[in-house]
Amino acid sequence: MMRKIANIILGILIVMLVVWELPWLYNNYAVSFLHGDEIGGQPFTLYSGLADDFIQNTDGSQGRRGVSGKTYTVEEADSLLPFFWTTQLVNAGRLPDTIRGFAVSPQLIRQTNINYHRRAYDTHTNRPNCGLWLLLESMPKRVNLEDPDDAFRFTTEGIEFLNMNTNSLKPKKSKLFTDALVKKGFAFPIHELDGNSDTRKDYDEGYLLIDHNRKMYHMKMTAGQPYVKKIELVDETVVPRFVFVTEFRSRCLRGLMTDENNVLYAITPDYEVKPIGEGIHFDPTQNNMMIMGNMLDWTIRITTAEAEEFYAVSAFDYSLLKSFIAPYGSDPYLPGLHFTETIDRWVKPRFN
Amino acid sequence: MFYKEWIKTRWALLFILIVTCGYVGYELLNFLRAIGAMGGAHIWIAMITKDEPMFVRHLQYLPMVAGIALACVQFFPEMYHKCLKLTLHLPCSHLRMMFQMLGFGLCALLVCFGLNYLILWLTMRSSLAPELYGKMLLVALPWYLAGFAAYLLSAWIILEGSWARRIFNLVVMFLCLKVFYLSSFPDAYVPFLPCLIVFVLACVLLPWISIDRFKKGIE
Repeated sequence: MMRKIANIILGILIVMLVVWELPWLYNNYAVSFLHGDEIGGQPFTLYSGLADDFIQNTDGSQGRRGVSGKTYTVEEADSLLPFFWTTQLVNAGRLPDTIRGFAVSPQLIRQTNINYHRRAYDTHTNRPNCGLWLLLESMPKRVNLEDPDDAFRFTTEGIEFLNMNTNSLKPKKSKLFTDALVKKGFAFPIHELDGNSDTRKDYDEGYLLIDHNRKMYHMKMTAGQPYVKKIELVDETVVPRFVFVTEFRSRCLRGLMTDENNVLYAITPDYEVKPIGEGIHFDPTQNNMMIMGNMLDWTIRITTAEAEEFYAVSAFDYSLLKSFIAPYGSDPYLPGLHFTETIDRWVKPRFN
Repeated sequence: MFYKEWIKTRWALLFILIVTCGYVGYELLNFLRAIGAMGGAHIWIAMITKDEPMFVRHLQYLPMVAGIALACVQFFPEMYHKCLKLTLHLPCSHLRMMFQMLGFGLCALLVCFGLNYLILWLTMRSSLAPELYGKMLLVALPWYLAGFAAYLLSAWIILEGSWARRIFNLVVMFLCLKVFYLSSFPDAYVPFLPCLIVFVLACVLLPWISIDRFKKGIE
């Protein structure tokens, strides 16, 4: 009897190892030989407001291709994407003084260009999280941002700051921030938060928070005091799900938000929440997103399991200018047992 | 049976205990030195912002090596001196005897690994928040589970009489242990830990296949 059970366990083990290793070997070594042309995503693509076209780096130094079907020489593409190829145009003495009626200079372009990447594995549900966070002083006495000497955690009743040098609670600061949040109507425990504690950035916007009642707040520390602002949504049917602090050099945004239907919103500097591109869908738990923008328009690339989606939106009112969806070809990969995925950081068995 | 296993493995166990605790002590010395040199805040910030198993990363393969070493010390003499043949002639349940032998080894590893964990916990809890030392202890847990799995799978290989089957078992063992080392991202294994524990428990039965084949005289 025991021998039978032991053999069954060994059989299951061998089947699982075969279903795990054979597809892995095929997908990692054979697919690139057999289906080399079919794999790989879209080339680097940017929207050109001047050409009203998405321009792709397809042909190396020979030229560029627009998704409309037009082809451009390298020099033409440089001129059509002046906010991206600024240094090249300055070197060639071809950077215009005005672009679509707006005065530009290399400094202004550098100041207003934005670059934002969000990968699915950055999302808190897709990665382990210790539950401790760092809050920087957003108005430091010196020019540079400095590392704090405390960390904070959210509990079911408030926010707790811990002195990192002595490993002890800071009751006064904890009460100060808890009271400030409660005063603005914040309901504990927290649902979601996002912030960036890197001191090499230009300025600090603290954290965007979603409370237990799915209301959105902005919290930062200014001269040692809490700054808490409730972010009102005009449409009360919108339920925030994820928030992202952007901290662009141009300060053109407070952050981004997605709702329960995965619609992407911009949070403006004066705390207005506006849908981007008339309802672009971005699921932060499944998709990667890249935003490359300038003072006039943004190119948003959203990578889903089925396609690469490109959207051009106006930098002024986030209205959709153009879109382009490139579905992936046939899937040459063998299904099998996997323990890790590119979209999250968990190790667990999954069959796909 | 326990006394026999103790006589056979006591020096090896002492060596494994000294080496594993020594390694843990070395890691903790690095940890305390870093806190002394740079301050607690610096270490906290690094642990909160970096996705690395700080201060325990050198322990990664140590429990696995300890498990394999203990299995070798415990079961090689059984096969080399034909002691297993004698043991199997005793008027006791063979299955019970196997479980007793494996139980001794697992308990010895549990004491050794438990002591490692206790030293880590006692040292880190004075300087770190529970979230941070919990992260350290959890990141090491799959590696310590790999130690138990390595012990059981090594016993399965050593007790096997046929060389061809031993090589096959060795490949299975290598692939099984690979599962414990797929990610060093802190806490990445948390949802998978119950499965790994079930896997380790299931491995207890595998040496029975080898003993059963040995009883049938398959070599």
